[in-house]
Amino acid sequence: MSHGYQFVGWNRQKKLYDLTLLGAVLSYLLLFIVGSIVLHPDAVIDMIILRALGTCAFVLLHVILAIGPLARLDRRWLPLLYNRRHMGVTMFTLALLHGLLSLLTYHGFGDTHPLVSLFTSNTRYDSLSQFPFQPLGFFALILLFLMAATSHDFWLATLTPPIWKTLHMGVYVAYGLLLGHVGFGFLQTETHPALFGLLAAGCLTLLALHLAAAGKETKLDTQDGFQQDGEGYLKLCEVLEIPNNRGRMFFVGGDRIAVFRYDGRVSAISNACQHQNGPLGEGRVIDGLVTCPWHGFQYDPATGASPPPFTEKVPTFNLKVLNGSVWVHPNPNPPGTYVNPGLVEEPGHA
Amino acid sequence: MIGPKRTMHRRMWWGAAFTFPAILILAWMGREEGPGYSGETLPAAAAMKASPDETWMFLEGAMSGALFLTDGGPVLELQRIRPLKKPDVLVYLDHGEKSLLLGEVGTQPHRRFAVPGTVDLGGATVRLYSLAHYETLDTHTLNEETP
Ligand code: HEM
Ligand code: FES
Repeated sequence: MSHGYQFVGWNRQKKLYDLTLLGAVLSYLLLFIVGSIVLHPDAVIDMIILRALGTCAFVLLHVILAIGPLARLDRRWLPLLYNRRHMGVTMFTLALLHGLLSLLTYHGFGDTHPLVSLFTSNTRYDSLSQFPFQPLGFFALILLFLMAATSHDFWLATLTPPIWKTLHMGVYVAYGLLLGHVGFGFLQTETHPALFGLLAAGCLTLLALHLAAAGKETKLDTQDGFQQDGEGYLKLCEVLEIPNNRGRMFFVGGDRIAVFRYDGRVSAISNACQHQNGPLGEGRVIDGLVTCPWHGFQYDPATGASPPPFTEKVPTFNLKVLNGSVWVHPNPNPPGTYVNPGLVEEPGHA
Repeated sequence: MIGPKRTMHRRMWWGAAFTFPAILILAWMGREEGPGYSGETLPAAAAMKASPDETWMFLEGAMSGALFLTDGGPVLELQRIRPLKKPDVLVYLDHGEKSLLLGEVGTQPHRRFAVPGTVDLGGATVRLYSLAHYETLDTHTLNEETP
């Protein structure tokens, strides 16, 4: 195909996902606004809306950052990962409205331009309790904007996945800024300890999840001591250790290889999906095609190539099955190179 | 090859594991420190001036205001005497057709603001504005003779 990217097309699951997301966001905003009016009849509506939007965006950001490690730790979270992009854009929209409303209410009445006033009305950078927290929110918003604006697969293809991924790691910087925005702003005036506890709990939960997921990955990447034969093949595992139509991941030669068993055959391809580097080894073989667990890109396990009309290709690895063991050569073949699948010598299950 | 990027990702999270709690701890320290006014960014000469050039009361005695005309420029001081019913107060200085936001007061017991030299103080009005209530709470017009 001529175009360099492929749409993950609209389908029922996606619409359901978006409707659920929209429903959750609107319910939150409604509950927050009605609850605040009932609990604080004196408060003005603008202030309540400002807070509803800010907190909703912040909560959503926690969800977005939690999905990645949750999906690594437990496959049942994968459906949430499927369309995380829409969650990100929704979060940005909420944050933008919050930021605009704040600028208008806090800085819209003076004779200074609101954006100048944002940076000049408070310069207490030497104080913790009066720290200018609003610029922190502003810079976070800029980062979130860059990510929302480049979230489409067109930008993924244009910027190339490594650069795109690096850009999108800015979300962690944004999170740090927002931690300061809320901690040095809102929590300095609203001093109920439970609110601080909530912020700390959210932050520590995210950290714990990411470190747990990282620990799991490190374990995989420190596998070592595979037996090697004269031709350089490494003995990775027994065929029957791989569940049928599933894969296993191995860390070989500095990168990850995914080995799949399907239709009485065994093939090895690179573990990194061409879309956003999703872990192919955690995917399934569906209709004879390796299917990425993140957004469903598919690859022929023998060639590493996506079925036409798609053009994605991943490297393949030479492989043989001897006495029920899988031997893989650690040097990758160019993406899309056909490799004879190993045959499973399994009585009655060929 | 995505090995190196994965390593970078992991390093970032280790960095975050120290940075994020540090931000939380600083925020907590800010709460402990409480609203204070040490080290305001004021003209150095402000500290030398002991008695104000003009004083007044805001909000039926809930807050006092004072103007110091120092060599470094005018300084406006606001001091909360009683807790405010509406603590979210912004301080504006209206002069001529213009309105300058000086900052926030109310949650802190004591604040000082340096007034930019470009402001013509004679007949200018100090205005307390409640953001949450969208209303001007009180005003004080400075002496006409103030330079
Ligand atoms: C130009 C950018 C921004 C400005 C000027 C701004 C301004 C403010 C202000 C003035 C407050 C305090 C309001 C209060 O006292 O209740 C606040 C609070 C807050 N902001 Fe922002 N903000 C910005 C960006 C963001 C972003 C990007 C997020 C995150 C997604 C965010 C999340 C929050 C949260 C969770 C709170 C605490 C709850 C609340 O008071 O609304 N802000 N922001
Ligand atoms: S990472 Fe998106 S489909 Fe694989």
